[in-house]
Amino acid sequence: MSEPSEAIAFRSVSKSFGSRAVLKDVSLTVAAGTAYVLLGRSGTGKSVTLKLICGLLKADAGSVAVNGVDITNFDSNELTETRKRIGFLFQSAALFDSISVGENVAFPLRRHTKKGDAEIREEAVAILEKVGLGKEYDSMPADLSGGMRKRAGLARALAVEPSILLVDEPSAGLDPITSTEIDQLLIDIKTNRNATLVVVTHNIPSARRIADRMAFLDAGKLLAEGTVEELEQSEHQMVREFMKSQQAG
Amino acid sequence: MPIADAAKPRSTFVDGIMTGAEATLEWFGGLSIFGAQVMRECFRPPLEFTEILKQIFEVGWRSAPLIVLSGLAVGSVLSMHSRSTLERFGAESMIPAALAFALVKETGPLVTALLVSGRVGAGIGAELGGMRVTEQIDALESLAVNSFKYLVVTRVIACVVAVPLLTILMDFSGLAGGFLAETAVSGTSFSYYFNAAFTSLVFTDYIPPTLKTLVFGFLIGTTSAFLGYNATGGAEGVGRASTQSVVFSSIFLIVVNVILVKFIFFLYPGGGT
Repeated sequence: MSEPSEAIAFRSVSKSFGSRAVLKDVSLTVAAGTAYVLLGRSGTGKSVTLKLICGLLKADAGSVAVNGVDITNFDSNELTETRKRIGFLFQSAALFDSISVGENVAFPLRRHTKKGDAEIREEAVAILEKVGLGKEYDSMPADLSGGMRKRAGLARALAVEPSILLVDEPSAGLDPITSTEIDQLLIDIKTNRNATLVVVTHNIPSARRIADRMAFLDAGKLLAEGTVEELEQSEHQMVREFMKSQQAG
Repeated sequence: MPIADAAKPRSTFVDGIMTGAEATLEWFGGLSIFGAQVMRECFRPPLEFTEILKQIFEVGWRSAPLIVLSGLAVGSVLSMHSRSTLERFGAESMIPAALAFALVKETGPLVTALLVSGRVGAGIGAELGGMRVTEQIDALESLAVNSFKYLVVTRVIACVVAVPLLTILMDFSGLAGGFLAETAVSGTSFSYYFNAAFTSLVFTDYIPPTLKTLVFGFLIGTTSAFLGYNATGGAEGVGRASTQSVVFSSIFLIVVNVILVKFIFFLYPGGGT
């Protein structure tokens, strides 16, 4: 069976926390094998969108489909199966701080494959090498820099070769060089594995490097959607200013 | 106008009480649902056996030194108090039996549970709270792992298994402490002391109080996991979860102990506790 052309589809999705509406009637689609960047000011529902895709949050209204399957009303077992095909790089990397970096990467392999210890270790080292952390297998997460932690988080997210990779603020707190390196890793993943990327960022240079398409969220609504050029020409002043004000850096 | 002004503070006061009562009920409701989920998941395979064994080691083995030392101290103090009291009635020979009764029936189970709630409850609250606020629990879920089963159920099962074993350890340590205190004063022999201690105890003296510690283990594990798993508010929230784990576990232990003692008396009218 061929992969559906739409990796992710939101249909009129709304999400509130108490009386605070975070997403209001949002519809968007992400084509398989493309990089989709979510932009917007802080607190406009970008990270919530990622968590809805992964089933970490449930939509109050509307539907969320992943690889053509509606996951809105999935139970925890069904979500577990869906998540095996999704990787998630959290803003803080969210590495398990009680185990080594290598064991963090090996963790999903131990859970979801029947490979032996030696093979898993070998594979984890290979994945760490791809993100430039081949020598850090036995290091503890607390001993890594911010950029290294992000890369380790990326390695863990990639361990089970997901078809969809969700990335929350890959450049947050990183210097421009490390940020560019992370962006390049993401582009390589998309190109070499034909993975679908959904990236949340405030960093416009980074977004430009990564994105095939972009969406701009404001106050829980999808204000604009399109290519970089289309957002630069958006009818909404806020979108144009956002794209412009961040251009220098 | 004056009537309305007078009514306002009362209304605010009543509203405050109602809001507080509502929040308290909501909290207890949340804890009860959480406990029911734990029980259901305990019997729903697959279980995380490796993680359960790891947690039993953490909860049980790592608590053992604390329990042994506390048992020795509690036993020797109880022995000294028993001697000063029983001497007045010329009943020094009853010291081993009195100590055994006190330890096995009440002091051992309750002191063990309170010590475990302090050491393990605070640890579970802080560990899960830390994982929650740093998105590690979300990360587990995103890696297709049932975080409730992996983090909560394993810790509760570990507490349920470890607390009775630690209670037995506390009972024996207490008796050993009592023997050391007694032999230092009166030169009582080891065989006489332990013979006198165990002769008067029957089956219903041992089993119900030890079995009630299964409930204590469940209470400690569930309360602290509930507070940690649902922690919010960064480092402050983690600290709060840790402190509240100890406070609420201890309160629940003391209150539930009264109910269980009454229940055991009901099942064993001869005085199973």
